[in-house]
Amino acid sequence: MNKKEMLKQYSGHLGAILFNIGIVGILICLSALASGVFWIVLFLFFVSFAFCSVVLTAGLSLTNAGFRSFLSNTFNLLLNQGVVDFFEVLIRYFPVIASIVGVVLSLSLVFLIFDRKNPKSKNRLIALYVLIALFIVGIIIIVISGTLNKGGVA
Amino acid sequence: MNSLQLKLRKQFSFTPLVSIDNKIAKLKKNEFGGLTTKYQTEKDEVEIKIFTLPNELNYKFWFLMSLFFYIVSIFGIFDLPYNRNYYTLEYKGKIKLSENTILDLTMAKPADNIKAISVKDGPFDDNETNIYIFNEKVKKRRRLLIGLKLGSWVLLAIGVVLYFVLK
Repeated sequence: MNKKEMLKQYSGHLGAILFNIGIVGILICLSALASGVFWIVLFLFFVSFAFCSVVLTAGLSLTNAGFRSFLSNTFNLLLNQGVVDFFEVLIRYFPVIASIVGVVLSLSLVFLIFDRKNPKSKNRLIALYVLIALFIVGIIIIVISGTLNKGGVA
Repeated sequence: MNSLQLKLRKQFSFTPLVSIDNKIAKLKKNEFGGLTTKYQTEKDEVEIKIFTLPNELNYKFWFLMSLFFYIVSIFGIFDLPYNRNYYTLEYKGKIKLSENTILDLTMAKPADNIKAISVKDGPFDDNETNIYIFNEKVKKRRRLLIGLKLGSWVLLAIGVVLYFVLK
């Protein structure tokens, strides 16, 4: 049995596991970013829905007790402290999660490179290259926007 | 200068590798889902190998490595499923070349005692290595690992339930 081939296969396997963990990490990062946006979108949708329904019915909808309770229940749900806390925790730990994901994906890249002749590892490597390219673009955008903001403040 | 154009129709479950004169050939997918490669040489004869990678469970430290992957992948959640293909192919033959040699090959569905590769066109060296090798050992080891993994999940679930009940 070829020892080199064996090590390559094991390296590819470990790289694939780290790749899977990294992908789930990316999804968590994206959900952390999207959760705030999602909440804002929901809140704005609710406010505009409430506004339109009151204006279009000339205030008559407010006379309905069921509608009033629906509005207050939805409002309480959106401003529920538990939901807000959850989003805050996700956003607060975003840099930590993103760093761990970056390290895991970098390790995955290193291990997969040893097994690059294997077509399955090759496909994962292509996906990783795309992710790394997106990651670099993201960093450039953050750096540029940070520089612009600093310039604006100064 | 002699050249070899190899066309290989592979089976879905197999990812074959091709080496020509001990160099792994770059295989490209053609429009029919087959694999093709071109090779140029001054030689009149080349050694060609068509093989599949051996299953990881065939190696010496299969259990230790499986345990390691199980831990790294967080109780096997992020682990890859082990290959269900218990057949391997290790074809090796010599091909006589001319200026434009075309070798059109098709891999058969893996089964016992059948020719692994059939030739449609070209000078193919059909020898005793042109056969699928079934690995019973890998099949048993894979089943054992699946059993252990399921057992550990059941134990883990029982442990979690007991923790909350006793709490």
